[in-house]
Amino acid sequence: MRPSDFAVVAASLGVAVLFASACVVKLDHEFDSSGTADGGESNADAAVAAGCRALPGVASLTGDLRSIAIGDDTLFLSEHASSIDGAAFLVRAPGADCAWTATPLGDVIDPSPIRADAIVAPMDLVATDTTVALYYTLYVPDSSAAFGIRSIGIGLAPRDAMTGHFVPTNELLWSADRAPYGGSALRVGDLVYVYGCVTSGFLADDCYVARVSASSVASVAAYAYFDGSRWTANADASAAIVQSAGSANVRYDAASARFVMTYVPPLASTIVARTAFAPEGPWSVPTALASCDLAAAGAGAFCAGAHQHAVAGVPRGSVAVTYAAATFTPGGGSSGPMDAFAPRLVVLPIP
Amino acid sequence: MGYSYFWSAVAPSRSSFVAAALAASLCFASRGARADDAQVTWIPGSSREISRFVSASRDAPVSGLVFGPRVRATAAADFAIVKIRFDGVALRAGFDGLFDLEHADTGYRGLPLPGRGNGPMLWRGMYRVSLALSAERLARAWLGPRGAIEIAMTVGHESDHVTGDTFDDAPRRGDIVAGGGGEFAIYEVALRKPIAPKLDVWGRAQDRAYFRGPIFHAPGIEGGLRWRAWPHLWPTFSLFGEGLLVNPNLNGAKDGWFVAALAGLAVRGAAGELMPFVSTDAGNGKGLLINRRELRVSIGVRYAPF
Repeated sequence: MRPSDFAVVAASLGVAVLFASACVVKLDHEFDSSGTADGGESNADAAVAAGCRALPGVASLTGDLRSIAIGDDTLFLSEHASSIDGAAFLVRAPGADCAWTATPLGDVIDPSPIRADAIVAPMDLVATDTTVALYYTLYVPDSSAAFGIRSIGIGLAPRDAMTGHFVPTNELLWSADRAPYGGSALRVGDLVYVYGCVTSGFLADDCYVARVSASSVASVAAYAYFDGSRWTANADASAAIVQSAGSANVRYDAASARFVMTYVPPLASTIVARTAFAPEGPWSVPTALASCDLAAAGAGAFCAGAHQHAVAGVPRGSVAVTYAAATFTPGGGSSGPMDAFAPRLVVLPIP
Repeated sequence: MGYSYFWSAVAPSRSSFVAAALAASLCFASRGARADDAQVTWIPGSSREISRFVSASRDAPVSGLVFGPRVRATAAADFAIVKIRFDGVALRAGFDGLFDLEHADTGYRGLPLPGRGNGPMLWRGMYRVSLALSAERLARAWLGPRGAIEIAMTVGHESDHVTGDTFDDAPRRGDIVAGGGGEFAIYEVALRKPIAPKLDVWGRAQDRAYFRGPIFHAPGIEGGLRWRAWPHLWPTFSLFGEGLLVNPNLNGAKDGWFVAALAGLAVRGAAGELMPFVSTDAGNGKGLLINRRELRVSIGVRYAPF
């Protein structure tokens, strides 16, 4: 081998390596690890989805809705059901066009046996082995707290089949310094998955998931927590499954064989979705589905909710979601037009 | 998507045809050969007459390190368990497997080695067993002294995983799920021909037909040049391309593709070949990065004992 041969080979490879310098160029926009591409959370240009007013015949109804099938009917419950008398309804065959005939149920949440002056604020509903249960947050009056109330924990209220009332148990499941599991509750086979989102920073909530046998939902010792790779009985080992979310709601979409998580980031106006093939994820990057219609709610209004509902007339590949406008403006929800804060139902494409 | 349906429809018949052809070749080749004519060699080297060491495919069973853009390491083994030579042909029953670690993000901290790359570590495992039939006498007659003609049938498995929970490339609609892994059969035909006293050209066409997994078929073609320039230094160049024809009914997945070019300088010795290389590839990634379509320029080094 001649020296000149070595020189040619070495020079060729040297030039190639220098030219290469190990780089990567994205060829399309299907992936962005920042989570903001393709209509992610930062996308403020999502089209406004006004949809239709859910339960249009109920004049005083405000706040977002959660729902569950009970027999041939669907029970709808306002997030304000504990403070608004009659914010629970049975609806026969609800549809995406909001043309519902609702039967008001009156006050269906019994007082807490823990404290008589406590407020039982509904979170989400789930079917257990024997009945339907409501996860709730228990608030107590506290003049030093924001809005005059303070959470002391999360509890469970099984539905009494005879009375139709949700009856809180004698004990809370989690204290208020835990993630509020039950913000979303989902039945998958024999298991119930409960999701809780807790503030992790300014306008940012991290969400966690736990699961339990559908026959043991009232026993906190029976819950297992996802630590990022496995399920553990140690609640302290739980790991966030998504970050910078709001109060997430998770349902299974059989058409796409995926779990769909919807939420509105704290004090935001955009409905966001993520998807996964398992209840614990891993979850896709967030995609902005639509902006809430807040035009009539006045300055300072924001969007809340994004609970999913099983209603008729939803095209394949879409999801029915409700949201409601909210505001911190004094008297905003009472002095303004009530319609502006009523729950609205929109049908949005699953990303 | 139309292609996917097409390949799905013809998969069984194509597989059957190739299997039948392979079996017929075996029968034809062994006809008249007496058992005491056969030369049996245990662990004779690579599972193929035409080695895949120089392949630009990410599925080639070759150990190596890639320093960038993503730190990657592959531990691989490729060997024939037995080689039976008889009546002008050689039959190799072989095994190959690889364990591929790749960081999800580009760059590294400190040294460009696994564990020092950025992002969660992804890994994929693949193993395959094969029967390869090399028509040695025919190849020498047709293609010259280093010529080779080889057909092979392989069955295998690939699975793709992530360590930890921070990898959130969860599928969006249209993505290929589960990293594209599954169980498959590969049928291939390869040729090698000397085109100059020290220069060989080789090529291989193959199809990976899946029994299970989000991909129906992955037809591919590759080829390259090996310049036996010096006893211990062989400049090498290869090209590879494959399509990923997927099941559109699974997450509405879209077909994918992958093309690559590799240039390296193989340093040959008694302990095998060591080859620093530069590779440029484009299209879908591998494993759980399968839905990242990128143009990547990589540098690395690979090693093969045979």
